[in-house]
Amino acid sequence: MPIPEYIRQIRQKIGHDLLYMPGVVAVINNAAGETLLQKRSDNGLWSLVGGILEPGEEPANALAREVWEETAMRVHPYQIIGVYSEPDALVRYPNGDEMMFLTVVFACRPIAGTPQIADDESTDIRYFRPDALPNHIDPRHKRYLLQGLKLLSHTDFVFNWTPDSAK
Amino acid sequence: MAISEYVRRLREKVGTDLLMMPAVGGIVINAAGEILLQRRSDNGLWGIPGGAIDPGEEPADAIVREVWEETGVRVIPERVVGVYGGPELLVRYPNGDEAMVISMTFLCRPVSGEPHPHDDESLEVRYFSANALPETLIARHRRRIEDALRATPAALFTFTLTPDKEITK
Repeated sequence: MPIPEYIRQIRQKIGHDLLYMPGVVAVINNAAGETLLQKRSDNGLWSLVGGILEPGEEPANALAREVWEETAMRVHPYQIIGVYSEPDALVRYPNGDEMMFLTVVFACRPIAGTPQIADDESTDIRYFRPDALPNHIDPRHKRYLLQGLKLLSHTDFVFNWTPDSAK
Repeated sequence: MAISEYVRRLREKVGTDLLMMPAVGGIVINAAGEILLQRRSDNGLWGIPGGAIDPGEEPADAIVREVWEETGVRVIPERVVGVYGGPELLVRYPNGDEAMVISMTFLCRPVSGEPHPHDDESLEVRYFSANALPETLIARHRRRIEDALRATPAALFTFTLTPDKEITK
């Protein structure tokens, strides 16, 4: 996925400052119960497929678009596994740009196409059995994947804050 | 909700340009089945409490904080009603600021606190019976309340890309 145009424009004004962006991540399970992972070219970690929303886009549509762009597969997102921020996950890119993400994790089923490397963001892509996940896996994505395997009837979230936490 | 330090600093640099804004809304329903609404000071309309998520803040934490800040009510988030985006949430505020809001709406249960305007964002705060919601309730918020009352366990969302439609960048 190239850098979306509107992010490029904002970066011209804010430089490397922190941007907090809405993102989507796909837990794509095939009929054999395996989950699709791609090996990212930038950090070498196995990761779920995902990306950033465009202005005006529904999150589920953004997800299907990202999966299409990165793997040439069409998927049907059928449930939101969870909604998470990542307080410990400030991403600092090699060029110095800082980002944090609000992540909506979707369970998806593949409906057409076989996974292939469709852009330069990944160097490998394949399905893994849950009991044989690769070692070099993004730890947050591993949590999302395992949460997806539980696939509770409700959407997962995390909360700790009470008014007493306020200073 | 006061504007966060993060948004204030970004706005100093980008002016009114479009910003992506992860946000939360809360459908707070008490034991009598009534729904907590606030009349907003910016447009005089009734709406559900909510606001922008601070970077790195868990969405469920953000709704507990926002409801507390705006209404003085402490809540526990019980489930995610829906995750909303799309063109309807591409908004321009009265001051010209443009934002693309992505809203996570939570169903919440109040645990303590008497509802009252708790900051300068609301003029009135009170519970309404679900069948007697105010006329001047923001239409989008009325639909989210309907979504919350439908009681589907998993979050609602909109998906309109199908294999028949070309996916374009």
